Amino acid sequence: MRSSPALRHLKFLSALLVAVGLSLAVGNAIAESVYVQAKTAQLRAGKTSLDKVTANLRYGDALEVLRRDGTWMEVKTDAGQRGWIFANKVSSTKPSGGDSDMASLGKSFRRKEASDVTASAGSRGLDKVSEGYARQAGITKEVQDSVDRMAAYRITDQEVEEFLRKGRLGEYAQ
Amino acid sequence: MRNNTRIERIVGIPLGAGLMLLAACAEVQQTLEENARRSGNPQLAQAIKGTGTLISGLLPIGEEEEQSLGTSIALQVVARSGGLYEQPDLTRYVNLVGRSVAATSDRPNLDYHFAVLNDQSINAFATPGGYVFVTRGLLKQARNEAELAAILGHEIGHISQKHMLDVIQRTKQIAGISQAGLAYANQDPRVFQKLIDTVTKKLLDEGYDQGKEIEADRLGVIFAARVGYDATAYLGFLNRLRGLKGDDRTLFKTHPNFSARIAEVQSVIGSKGYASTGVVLADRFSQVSSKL
Repeated sequence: MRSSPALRHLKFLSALLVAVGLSLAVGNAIAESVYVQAKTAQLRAGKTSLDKVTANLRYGDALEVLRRDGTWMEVKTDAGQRGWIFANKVSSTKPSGGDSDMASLGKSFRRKEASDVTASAGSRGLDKVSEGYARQAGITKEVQDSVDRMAAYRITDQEVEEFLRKGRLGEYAQ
Repeated sequence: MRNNTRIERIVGIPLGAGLMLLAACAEVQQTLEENARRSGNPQLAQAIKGTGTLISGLLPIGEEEEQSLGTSIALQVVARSGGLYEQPDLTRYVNLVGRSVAATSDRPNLDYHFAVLNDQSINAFATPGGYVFVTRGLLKQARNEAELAAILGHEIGHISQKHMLDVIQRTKQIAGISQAGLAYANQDPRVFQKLIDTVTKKLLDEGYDQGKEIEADRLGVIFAARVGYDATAYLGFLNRLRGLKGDDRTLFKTHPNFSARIAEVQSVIGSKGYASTGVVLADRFSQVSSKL
């Protein structure tokens, strides 16, 4: 018995939907995502540290893996930019970032108190709470100044990169 | 990764909805509290505030609070350890190695600070908020930069896993501090002082439980290897210390015995497939360690 034209159309549409669904599922299964697992990372035109930096990536940025070659990966950013990244700077799990959702929520409940008591006392490294603690606990001025200098000590990301380059570490390895 | 994504989808929707609802509650709670105060009902305002305080006291410590707690504990660490050894080249070097490792840790965005304690005992400490200390005695036992990287990586592991914050959270609960974040520090400085003194004692005298130390060892090796250091270098350091006094707990007293730590480090090297690369940078280390 032959089916009606309406039934034939319905069958065709069902088959089309299944095909589209399958192709989407296969596409998802093949695409591998990784995330930048370093404070900063460079996307390069080639797979050596001597290749031109084409983009600066940030912690947590999602990347689609196109292929791997030794310690390097060719990736595509969300914006569609392609390039190479040193594989040790990515992770297959999404980083959680700073405050967790729960911690952020805690902060929203106590925002007034927190901002009142942790405001910086100025250019010093110690905040109001730790300064108050130092007074209460009888911590000497000498120790306070030491921790202050420790907290205020600054090294730039560029200095760290230069240190890695000189030591031929990470992507600067030969 | 696929499984994680699926779990995130399944758990994420109700969790996300729950968080949004709670966040909305925080806004509603503050509005109600202000309205009650304006309408001349301070008792009701206080009751509403108390509800929010109770909820927030059960939530994890945020980075703002972590910073103040960590700085306060750091003050005690320095006070009890004979002060800092502030040789400029050494301070810069330890900070460069530490920042290199921290940048590829599981919490790279924190502002890390590294310093050398003027103390001849062999130890290292980390406080919340990114403060890492190594003693002069420990640095004298290290032979190369790869060992130092894993030592600092161990301490960064304590920070990334929020081990001390877990201790603080439990201590607050035991002490009956149900107030939100740091509000109690202003209202009753003695309560805050007692909290800091208790957790500092835990850090300097008692140490974490062995599970946390072992986890920090694993992470120290992983973080150093991510930078490109020879992952097997840390074994050399631990073996050297075990050779000094066997498994005597007075050495590195706040940590598990060396045999257990060496076995764990060997296990992580094996499971990650790390090979000995020889990248230990002994010369760069010795140029600076001569200033100890």
